[in-house]
Amino acid sequence: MSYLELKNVDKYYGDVHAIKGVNLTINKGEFIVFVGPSGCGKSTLLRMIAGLEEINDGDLVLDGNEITHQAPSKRDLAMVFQSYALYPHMTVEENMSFALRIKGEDQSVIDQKVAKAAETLNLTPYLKRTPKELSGGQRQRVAIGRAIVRSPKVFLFDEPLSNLDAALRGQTRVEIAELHRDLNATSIYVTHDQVEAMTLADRVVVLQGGVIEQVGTPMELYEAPANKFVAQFIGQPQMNLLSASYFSGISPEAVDVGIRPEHFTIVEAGQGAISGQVELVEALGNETLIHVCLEGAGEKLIVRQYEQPTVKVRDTVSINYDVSHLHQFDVKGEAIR
Amino acid sequence: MSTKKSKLTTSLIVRTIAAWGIALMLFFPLIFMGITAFKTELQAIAVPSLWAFEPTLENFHVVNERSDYMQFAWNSVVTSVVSTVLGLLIAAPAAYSMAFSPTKGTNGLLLWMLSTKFMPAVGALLPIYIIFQQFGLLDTKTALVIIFTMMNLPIMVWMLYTYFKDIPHEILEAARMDGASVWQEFRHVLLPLGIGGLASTGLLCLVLAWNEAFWALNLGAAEAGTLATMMVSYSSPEGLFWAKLSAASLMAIAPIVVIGWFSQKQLVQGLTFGAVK
Amino acid sequence: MPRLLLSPAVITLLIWMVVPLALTIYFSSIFYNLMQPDVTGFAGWMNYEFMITNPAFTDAIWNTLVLLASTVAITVIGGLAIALLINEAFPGRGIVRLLLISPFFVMPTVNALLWKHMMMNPIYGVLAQIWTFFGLTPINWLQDLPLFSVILMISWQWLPFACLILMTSLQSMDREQLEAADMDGANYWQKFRYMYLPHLARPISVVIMIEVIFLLSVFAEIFTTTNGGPGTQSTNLAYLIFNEALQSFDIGVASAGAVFAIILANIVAIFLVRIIGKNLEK
Repeated sequence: MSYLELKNVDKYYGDVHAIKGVNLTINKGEFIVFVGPSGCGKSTLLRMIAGLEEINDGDLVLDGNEITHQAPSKRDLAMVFQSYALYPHMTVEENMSFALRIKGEDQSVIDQKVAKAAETLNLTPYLKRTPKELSGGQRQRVAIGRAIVRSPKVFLFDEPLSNLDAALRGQTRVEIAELHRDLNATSIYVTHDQVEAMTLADRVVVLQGGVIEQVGTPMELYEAPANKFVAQFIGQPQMNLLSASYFSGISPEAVDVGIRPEHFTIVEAGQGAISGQVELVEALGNETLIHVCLEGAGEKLIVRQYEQPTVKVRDTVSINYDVSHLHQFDVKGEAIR
Repeated sequence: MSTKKSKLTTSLIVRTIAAWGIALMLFFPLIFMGITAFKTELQAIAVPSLWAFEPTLENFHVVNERSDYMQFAWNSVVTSVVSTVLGLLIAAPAAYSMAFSPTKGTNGLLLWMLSTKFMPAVGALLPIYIIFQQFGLLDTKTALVIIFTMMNLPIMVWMLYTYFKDIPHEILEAARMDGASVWQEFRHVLLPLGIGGLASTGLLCLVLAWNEAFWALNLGAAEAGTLATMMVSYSSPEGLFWAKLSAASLMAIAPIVVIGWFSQKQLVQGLTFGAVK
Repeated sequence: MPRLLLSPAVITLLIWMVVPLALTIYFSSIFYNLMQPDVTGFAGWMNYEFMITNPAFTDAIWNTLVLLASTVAITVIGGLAIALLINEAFPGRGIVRLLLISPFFVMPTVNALLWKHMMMNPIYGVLAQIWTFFGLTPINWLQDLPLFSVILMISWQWLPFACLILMTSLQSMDREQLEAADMDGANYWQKFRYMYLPHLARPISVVIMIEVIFLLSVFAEIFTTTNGGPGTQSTNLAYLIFNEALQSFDIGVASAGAVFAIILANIVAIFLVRIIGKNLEK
């Protein structure tokens, strides 16, 4: 059941074709994450949905209505900005109630909705304060509160966690996930952080250069990346890419073969398919990352093992791989299935 | 450690004395004028200058009677206030548009506006004089309001532009997302956030209009004369003597100097035209 | 929408610029003397020739430039010195600030009268009394040093402007940067040269630009004190044109003068934009 639909949407900045004919269908209640490297157009695409950037070509349909050129104020969408964009001259309460007040909602309804949102977000004690008097995390929650009191058709999040420190970011991420579970509201969330993308999304949209590379659930992207870009963008550390010559029994069209670090295992000398010299051992406690330089061409790969390190730097090691987890890519970088 | 401390104190004392000395020296003409306003004419030109004397309000009475001070003051108030309000009404939308929907031409447009200030007033005097004569506007407050508005417009646009540019774009976008119309966005977000900028821009233009003498002299000598022109009428040899001149001067500058004192922090901030962040 | 909001300001300024400019150029090319209403018609370059050959003209241009350059120099250097002096806290800084800014609010006509009668009067003027106190012969300022007197008055008015803007921007200077310079062993002069001065480049440009705009057309001070004299010693271009128009009633010649004034202003403006334009662009 399509709720929000982008049909062949284009965006130009002068001669620069920033968004190149994007098609996307979003279902009601879905949590969609736009992810990609900086400059890939993810924020632009979000702002086009919001109405803050003009759509140069194509159509945008929301809940059965065409809204391609409608003013942002008429679209009934709520946005959480990267900078939070709180109204500095208003208290938390006034910030959260602003949209309802200008809509001319009943004061009793406004009070009730604001009180409820404030309670959900633990903001009740701060309602009379101004944004200046709040911490970063609290401001962030006010920004979310401002969006939820309105019960909009779609929530838009523009990198909402990027101004928080690491600990708070993790915590708020969990809160947003819970919030979405409770409200079941359609949401679009832009981030460059793949952990946020993987943990929050029902479906992830990977963008690069104004083009959608792949749309899918987090696991689909991880297990069956559509091309080399997605394969290397999702997963930390990156998927290893080796030339096809190391492998036998693969498609004749394959040029590169990708293997995730956890699908390599270090084996007895001479037992493995590949061998090389250890360059660096990163012992992280729960896992160990072993950087290996292969013999011959000098290609490098990373092996992940979930046990204490068994090898040292400059050891020569033999490596085996899990045949069922090979990703083969053709000349164009597309996955071969 | 103790030597360092005493050295610091010495430098503080030196700096304090120097700063106060310079400030008092620059302010001296105004103090002296203020004192002279309360002297008799004979006391005013006494050599050496008198510092102890019995103050008199005589000068103020004479000035008031002889020159119809209230009429000039009223003209000054009307022309400077109306031109400032009018200027803000024209400049604010332009500055808003340039700050929040900048285009490639915005910078050029700003420079062009400023360049109109490089056109010397004398260059425009004759045509303006003749046009106003045609429309029967000579020596009217309307004429001065028009001129003062035009004269200050580029500076107003520029000042407001630098203020508006400091307001984060995203806050206005947030208002738009919250469903605010253009008017609501202006009324509830831009105005409260930009009020400081509007106030200091308005104040500066008030000062400039109040003190303007070239146009006031050439276009509004009699009926529409402002305080600036009243003062000129005293410069002629048959005018008043120095004590009365001081009283008149005091009355002409006091309102704007007092307003200036109260708003100097804001005003100076605005005058930096965004040169100071 | 943006165009709609811009147009009132743009249209107003366009009219304000184009109409007087066109009319001035037109008047400068015809015979237009209020005392000789029967002499009319196209004058060609006659008015310009008349203006240029007037010996007062070169004096006026020279005086305009001298007045501009000296006032800008005095106010910027003096303002910078005072700003550095009061940059750090000392007892009564708030009041000192108030005292310093006051001359800026004084209207030019009062400023001129103040200096003419109270400060520079050769008999009872304050400066004369000081001169006498030191056993010197009092100077008849407006007679003997007319242009310098005018420069003095205008500098008094604009010094506060320069000083307070430079002071405000000094306050915004990055403390850590100065501390880093201290750690690097910079002395006061080196800090001034490599820290303060680059930081002040932009505000100084603003000060110079605003002052040039206002000082190119100084009028009231000259009108009220020296009347351009003695002779042409303190006549600037603005005053000369005024004299031509409203005292000789020759609008044609005055308009030709005005065209020169506009050209001069534009030369100065181009010069200025060349030098400080980079600082303003940021």
